[in-house]
This record gives sequence, structure tokens and C-alpha cells, in this order.
Amino acid sequence: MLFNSFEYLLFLPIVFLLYWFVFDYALRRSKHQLLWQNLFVVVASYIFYGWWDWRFLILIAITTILSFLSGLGIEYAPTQRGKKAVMIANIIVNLGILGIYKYYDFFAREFAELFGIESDFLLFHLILPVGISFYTFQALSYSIDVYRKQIQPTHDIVAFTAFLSFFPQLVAGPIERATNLLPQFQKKRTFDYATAVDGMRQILWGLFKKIVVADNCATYVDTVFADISNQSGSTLVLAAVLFTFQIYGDFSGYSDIAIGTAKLFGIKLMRNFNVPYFSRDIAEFWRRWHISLTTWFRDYVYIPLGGSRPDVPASLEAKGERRKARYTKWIAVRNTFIIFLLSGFWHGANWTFVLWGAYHALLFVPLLLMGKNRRYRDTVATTTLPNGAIKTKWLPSLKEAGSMLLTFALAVFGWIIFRADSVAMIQEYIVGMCNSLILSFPNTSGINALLLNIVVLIFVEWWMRTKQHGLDIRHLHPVFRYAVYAGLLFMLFAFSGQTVNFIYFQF
Amino acid sequence: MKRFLIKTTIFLLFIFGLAWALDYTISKGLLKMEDYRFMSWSDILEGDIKADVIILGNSRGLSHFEPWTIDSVCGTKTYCLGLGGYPINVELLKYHCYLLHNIKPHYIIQQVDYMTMRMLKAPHQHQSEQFLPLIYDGGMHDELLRVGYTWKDLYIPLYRYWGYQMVIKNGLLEALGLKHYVNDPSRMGHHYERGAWDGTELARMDTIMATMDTAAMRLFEHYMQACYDDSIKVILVNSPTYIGATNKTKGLERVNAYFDSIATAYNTVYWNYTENYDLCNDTANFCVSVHMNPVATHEFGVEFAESLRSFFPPPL
Repeated sequence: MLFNSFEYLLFLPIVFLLYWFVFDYALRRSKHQLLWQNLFVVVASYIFYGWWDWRFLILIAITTILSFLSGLGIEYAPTQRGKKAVMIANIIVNLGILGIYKYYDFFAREFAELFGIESDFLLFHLILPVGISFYTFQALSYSIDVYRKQIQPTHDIVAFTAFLSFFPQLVAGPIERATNLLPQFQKKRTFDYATAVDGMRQILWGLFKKIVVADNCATYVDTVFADISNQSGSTLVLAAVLFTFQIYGDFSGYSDIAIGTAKLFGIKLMRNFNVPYFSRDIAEFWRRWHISLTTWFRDYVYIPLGGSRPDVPASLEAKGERRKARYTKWIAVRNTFIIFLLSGFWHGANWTFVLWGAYHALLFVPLLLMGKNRRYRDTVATTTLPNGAIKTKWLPSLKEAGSMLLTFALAVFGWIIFRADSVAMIQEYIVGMCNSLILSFPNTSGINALLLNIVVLIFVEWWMRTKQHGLDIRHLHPVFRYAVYAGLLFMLFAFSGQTVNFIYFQF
Repeated sequence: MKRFLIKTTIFLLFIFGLAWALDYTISKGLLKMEDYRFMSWSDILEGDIKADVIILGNSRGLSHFEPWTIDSVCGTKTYCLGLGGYPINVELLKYHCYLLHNIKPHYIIQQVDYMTMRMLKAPHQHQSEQFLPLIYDGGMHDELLRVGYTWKDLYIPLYRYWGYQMVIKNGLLEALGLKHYVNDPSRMGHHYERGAWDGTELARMDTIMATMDTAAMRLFEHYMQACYDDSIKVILVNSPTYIGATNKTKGLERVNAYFDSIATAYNTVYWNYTENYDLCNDTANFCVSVHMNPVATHEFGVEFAESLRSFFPPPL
């Protein structure tokens, strides 16, 4: 079921009303009220997910059961080695399922090509289950956190299933941590008017980003990418910029809808995007883009590998500070490449994603080596007052604007690699961009309204950059607020384009 | 919770009312446009056509038969109900709408060809926007459901306009009197195809398959029977097609044999102008392989009207 579909428009209010009226209010005196409410979340989530293909419910059920049992296994294993073995077994099985569905055919094809053999008999031709990478990573985080004693293993399989299959974030994140989401299913939720209204606003803003911006960009971008050789350099540049907004509108729009929906059910999900295109360098960009995945790799891969401050082996201790520093830097660079390459490959079984990861690693490493990767921790053009309040400025300084523009341009280039179907296509696109017509006026026929809407998006996000989302307008006068809601709804309708699937569903 | 539900419901009701008003405004605006996609629908809904002869069919029906030429030669009152798009179920939707609001004709010139015997859902076909303003005609609901619209299109305001950005804009501006669109208007329902010969599409195709859908054939025969019962004479005409396209089309014998058999069964004629007809041999007469240009259309129109007159002697 798509968030921007008619089915979801019916599904959401029905589930909302049943959740609060039947499974909360009507059962308020039942001692099993929480159990019933969680069970209802599970049923609703399975209906939501099964809408695509009910057969994949089996997979998610297997992941759920195995991860739940692994938690118990870690708890009851008598030795530390046993606990570790259970955790590793759970990781292997879950990554095994992910690997078979997502990567097996890719590797089989590459293997066959390498050895010049016929690949057809090697391939499984499996359909990739929607959101498998998201819920697998969420399941892994649970058993790792239990092993690390960051969370107590749960004995409540219903709450655990609700945690793993909660429908707003099931298919495209945010990839939640057990430490944040699971406890919320273990205690009674209470309806909060302000949170629910804020959730509705966030859903509306997410829909704007998806329907008005991303889907309209998709029409232009798809046409250009389907016929690269016949486009002028400037048109290719414009298409790359539009894809930059498409993927942001699509994915951050999805995240806003997911987070907003969860708020309606009294659940707080983690933030997934924080105005990434206003970043002043690539390191800041990665702190603001797909935050749930970036922090996942940081916490479960980068830091365990030693991060940027690895333990120095005893053999080097005696060999001087320079050798030690060189070793530390080398490990930090290695780890950076590992997480960026993994992060790229997480997106899909294609060398283009690996290249995209490598490209960002190459941009990140110089900052890391110069110790400037944590330079920008605040939001651009803001000042923190002594009382902790944040004061925003109308405009960035010239230096900030330049840094943002450069970072944006680097991100745009990265998105060309990400969007291309093959390495040859990347090459064709870049060569095409560099042709003499790069200075000509790009083909903008039929996209004037889209360009205007992108300006609206940029303006609103800039204005609201210190808030949780673009439509956090709770402090405005009600008349103005309702006018904004009605205006946005009108824009959703007037600028509706083709209904496009969310890009991140394929991952 | 109570406060949340009440406020949300009031807001949604307000939005629903606004959406209904907007839907009505856009639909009315579209029907006011001088654009061939909407003009004939507007005439139909006004119910003042009173034609003896109507022309029915796909885009070839829309562009290949000049009503005024037929009128001047045969002394009739003719109106063209051809439409952009081709499946028979959608063609007949227009005819049913016509019958709902207008007196029945005596004759129908039915354009038929290898594309006619197909079924396609109206919302998915070429120029599907032409059907959008029809929702306010309650009598058409069953017909609209039959050609692929759903209850959501009929009863949820604005739902069917989703994705039609230009149509929404044009309809609104027209309805609010901010702009009057005179864009490719039609005359007596007829609309010319214009432009120099473009053979790109034809060159791209190795073979054109003439397929006949059983459900479409059943529907067509039902329509022929209904006309026969109502004493409406249906003249089946396959207007000129560029010979290069005809030569590439596989399965034409079956299609022509079918229309011949239908003509015999319902005591009428099937005139096939796609074979052994001079106009078909020169690309100079066509815009694309299946559409003649205005000059050739007129030339064909005069000859066709003469045949019609000799077939139906005065007083027609």
C-alpha cells in the first residue's frame, strides 16, 4: 500500500479510529489492553505490507521469530561466547535472507561473466521483497543491542512483532533502534492532541514533497535519463539537479509521512532528514541525510571496527607517536571507506551504488584527515544564545552560502552516479554534460510550475530549518495555519503528476 | 481526542465542499473551451444537435468526414461524433451520451478499421481528459462505469482530475473568465488533422497487427442490432489509409471479412477505401499513415458524399 494511494487514505483513518476507540478506550479496564492494542498494530501492519504481496509476510515473520528467539537465546546462554554465537547466528541468518533476495543474482551474474560461463542456470530471479533491507537492519540492531546489554531482551513477542513491523516505517524506514521503539510498545500510549495535530502537519508536508516535487521531477528526469545522447549539456545538468530534489522529496517525504503517521498513534520515531541540502560540507551532509541508516552503520560497523580512534596494537606502542598516528589515520580511512561502500551497496546490487559510496568516501576522507569532519555541528546561519535558545538569521554569510553551494554541487554529481543504471551510463551522462551545449539554455518546457514549487520547498525548508519538519507552524495564527493547510491541499491536487512509487521501496 | 476528531472532521468537510465546488468549476470551464476535445461534448449535453446523420468512430472518424460537405451534397444535417482514441467501447460511450440528450439520427456513418474491435478503459486511453466533465451528467454514470471509470471517479470530487495538471489549469482559468481558450476548435464536431507527412512511427514498425477482441465484437454486434431495431441505418466505412501502412498490416483479410459479414447481416454496406484507392498511394495526402491532411480529406469527402447520395437517393 502506497502512502499516496487512495487505499491508504481509507486505511489510515480506519486503523486510527480502531486503535484509539476500540483497542484503547473500550478496553481501558482490561488488563490485556496493551497486548490487544499491540496485536492490532501487528494485524494492521501485516495488512499494509501484505497489500503488495502477502507471500512476503512469511519472510518478515521468519525474521521476527528468529530475532525474538535470538534475544532470548542471548539472555539464557550461560557463557559470553554462547551469547556471541547466538547473536552472530542471527546476523548470519538475517543477512543470508537479505543476501539471497537482494544480492545473489548480482553476484552470480558477475561470477558467470568473470569466468565466461552461461549465467542463466545460476540465477534465482527472485522478486525483491519491499523494504527487506530496512526491517532486516532493524532486526539486527535488536540482537546486537541485547548482546551489548543496551536493552533487556523482551519476552513479549507481540510487542516485538509490533516493533519490527510497525507499518508507518516498515518499508522505507526510518530504521529504528530497539532502544527507542521497542519500549514504546511496552508501555501504554496516551493520545496527545498537540502531537497528533503535529503528525497531521508532517504528513501534509511529506505529501507535498512527494507529490508536488518528487513525482513531477521524476517525469522530467526519467525522460532525460532515457535519452541521454539527445540532450544538451545544460539539460543534463538540470536533470541531475532535478533528480537531487526528486530523491530528497521522495525519501524525506516518505519519512515525514511515516513519522507523522506514527505520531497519530502516540509513537515517536527518530528523525531521518535534517535539511541536508543546507550542509556546508559532505561530513555535515551525511549527518543530515538518511540519519537512521548513517547512524546504524556508525554504531554497528564503524565504531566496532575502531572508528577514527582505534586501539593501537601493542607492537606499535613502542614505535613512536608518528607511527601510531599514521596507523590511527589509516584505520580511520579504511573504516570510512568500508562504511561508505557498504552503505552504497546496501542501496542495491549494482556497481553504480558502490561507486556512489566510494565517491562520497573520497569526499569525506580529506575532511577526516584534516580533522574537519565535525566542524559543522550546528545548523547553518544560526546562533545559540546563552539561554540555549537558537536564533536564526535571515540569510547565510557569503562563506556559508558558498560552502552550501559547493556541497550541493558535489551531492548533485553523486546523484548522477546513483541514478544511472550502469557504469557506462554514468560515463555517457558525464561526457554529455561536458559538451559545448552546457552553456545553452536547458530544456525547461513544461516544468515552470515545478521549478516554482522547488523554490517554495527551498524557502520553507530554509525558514523552518531549526524545526522538526517544514510545516511546524503551531505558533502561527489559526486563520493563517488553516489557509496554509488548504493551500497545500490545493497544490497537492493541482500539481499532481503521475503516481510514482517511492524510490527507497526498491532498497 | 474528541477535540481532534471534531476539528479534523470540520476541516475535512470544509475541504470536501471546496473540492466539490472546484470540481464543478473546472468541469464547466472545460465545456466552455473552444477545443475539439470538449466542444462536441458541450454540444451533445446542450441537446440541440438534431442531426439526420451522425458520424461515429475513432480519430479517423473525427477527421476524415466533413459534415458540411455531406450536407451540401446530400442536403442533410450531419454532425460528427468521432473522438480522439480508438476502442469501440469508448466510441459508443459518446453515442450513448448523444442519445440521452438528442433525438436519434436516421443514419450513422461508422468509421471502422483494424483498430476498432478493441476494448480499452477510457481513463487509460489517448485524450482521456475529454471524458472528465461528463461526471455531472447523472444519466452517464452507468456508461462511464462500463468504460472503466470507478465509483471514486464519480463520487469523490476532483479524484478523476488527479494528474491532469494542464486540464485543471485551463478549466479553472476558463471558468473564472480569466482566459478563453480557442485551441484547435471543431466545426460540427469535426476536427482536421494537420501537418506535413511524418513517417517516423510507420518506419519504426515492422508489422502492424490487426487484432479483434471478442468482447469488442460482441459489443459492436449488440450496437448494430440496436440500431437495426431502431431503424437507424449504419453505413460502415473504412476511410483511406496510406498504402505503406496497409501493406505492413497483418490480419486485414479477417477484419474486412468480418465487416463484410456484419454489413450483410444488418442489410447495409461496408465501404473500404484502404485498398485500390488513389489517395492511399501518396504520402502527400497524409499527416501520418492513418490520418489524411485537410486537402485530401476534402477530396475524399466530396467523393464519399457523392457515393452516399447515390446510395441513399433524395430526399435523404
